[in-house]
Amino acid sequence: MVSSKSAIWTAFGASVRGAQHRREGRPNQDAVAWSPQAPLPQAGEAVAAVAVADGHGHASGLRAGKGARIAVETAVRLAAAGMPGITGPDGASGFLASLPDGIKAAWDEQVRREASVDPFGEGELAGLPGGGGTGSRSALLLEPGLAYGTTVILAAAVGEHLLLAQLGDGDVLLVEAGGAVARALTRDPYLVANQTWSLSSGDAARRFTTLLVPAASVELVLVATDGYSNSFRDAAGFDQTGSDMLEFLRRFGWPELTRKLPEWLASTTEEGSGDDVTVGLLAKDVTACAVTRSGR
Amino acid sequence: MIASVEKGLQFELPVLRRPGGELASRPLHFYFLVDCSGSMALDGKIQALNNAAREALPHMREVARGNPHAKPLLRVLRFATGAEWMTAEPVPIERFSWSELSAGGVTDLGAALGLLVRELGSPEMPRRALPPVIVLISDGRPTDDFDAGLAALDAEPWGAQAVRLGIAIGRDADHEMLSRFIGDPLVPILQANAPEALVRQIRWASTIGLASSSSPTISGSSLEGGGLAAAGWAGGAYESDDDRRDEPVVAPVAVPPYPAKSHLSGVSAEGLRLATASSATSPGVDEPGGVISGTREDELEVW
Repeated sequence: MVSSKSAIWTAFGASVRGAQHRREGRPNQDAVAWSPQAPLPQAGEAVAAVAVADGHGHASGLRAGKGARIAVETAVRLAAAGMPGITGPDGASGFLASLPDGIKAAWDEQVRREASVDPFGEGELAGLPGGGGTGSRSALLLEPGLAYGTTVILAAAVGEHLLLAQLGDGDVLLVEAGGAVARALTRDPYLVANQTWSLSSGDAARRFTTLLVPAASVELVLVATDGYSNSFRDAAGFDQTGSDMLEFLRRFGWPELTRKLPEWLASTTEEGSGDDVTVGLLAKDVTACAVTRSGR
Repeated sequence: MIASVEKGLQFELPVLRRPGGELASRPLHFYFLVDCSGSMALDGKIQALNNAAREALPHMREVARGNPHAKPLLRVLRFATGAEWMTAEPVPIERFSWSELSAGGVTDLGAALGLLVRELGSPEMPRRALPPVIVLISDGRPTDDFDAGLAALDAEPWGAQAVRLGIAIGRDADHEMLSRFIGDPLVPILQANAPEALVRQIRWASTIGLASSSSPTISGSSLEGGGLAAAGWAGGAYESDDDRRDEPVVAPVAVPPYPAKSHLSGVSAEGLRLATASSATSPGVDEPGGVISGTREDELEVW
């Protein structure tokens, strides 16, 4: 019997530019980051974390892609730094409660630094609709973070604890060993018609939803930007991605999955939403579990 | 789908083409709310409207072909004495045909909004749908409880985030009502005082509304949204001296100096604001949030 404490988690992710973005010549403004990082996922680290983010994608969003990149790197860095010391549910809950403020503060700081080191240039501002009027320039000077607006979703595992945090749209699927899929976080009923909460908002920290999940029953966590779920005709079709990923991983392993994932996402956006599509995966390592099961 | 036998981790299908179920483009619900009261029978208004709507359809289909990831679904809601849908279900744009509307009765716009709200709140509006587009066309004043209908529309999340456009037919149209329906003082009313102008306004509203909602660029931006601006409309008017006079003029657009409404980021309403923020500088626009005249200088105003 494998105890949850002995489980080793592995993280990976992929992001592809939306098919419609490609047609319009616009960049991928999603981002993904994970830890531990390696050419291929490696087991053995105490904490595994993955984050995805969806930069608010319009040409006048200026630096939303950078904002998304900063968001995922910040979230994964904070998880990797803060989670190893967690002991017991109270410690996990306490860390999770502090995470939104931590992500928001670190993201703000990094964005300010980025904007300071690399101020908005005339070329960028000219890219605003209408060439960027006085009002838009003033707004960016006062709140440079507006140009970096993004969502963020984090999934992180250590020992028996699985931590989830989400700001804005996107999805989190939890997949059990038998393939059953559950939606981890309740969707905000106000987030329809492309509405989303953003890290650029002053009160972003209190707009996060967080959840502490016992890791024992979960085999795989899938986090994704909304371009992924919006590509499927119905919710069941999207939920199926969780069980399919787990089964594929069990049969073919991480090397094959890391090779295939970008291809899958590319075909998904092409036949689906046309939006950028980004997926992060966090899964118990099959090999490690098998080794433990055999008593080694 | 791969089916597994859990204990042995055996698979019935050896190859996974890609994870998940069936893929599909995103639904985009487009609603025409059409005033069919008795006054619309005067001076050929209802017939001009029928003609204009039919003329607009090929242009809408052309816009739709520009984004294969959106699936426009059209539906017409007529209101006079009471309100009724002209089709039982939303119709894909490629199969949609405009049914002849006739005029007679009063102007129960409140009832129409009530029907629309029920539609927007139904399971037929999946979360993955794009922001709906609602084009209200009217020549008069509501005769029932418009306030209640509008409040219900604003309270419905899909209604609140819809791309809303208003077309006024003739000088007796209720501009205050249309402005309240649009819900943003920076978004002007489209005015039509002649059949030719109505053709242009309906074509313009339908194509630009479709493009604004179907563009993925509308997706979340705290600065400018997207919406009509993303579709290239700056709240402008018509060029006046060549064969492109039916095209909207792209005029300078200011980014509003505020993040998106409250703490939410990026919606069609933001796009609408942006799109019309500079409309005061565009020829043919009386003032921001005012009226865009669809009548050309060489045309007679008949309504």
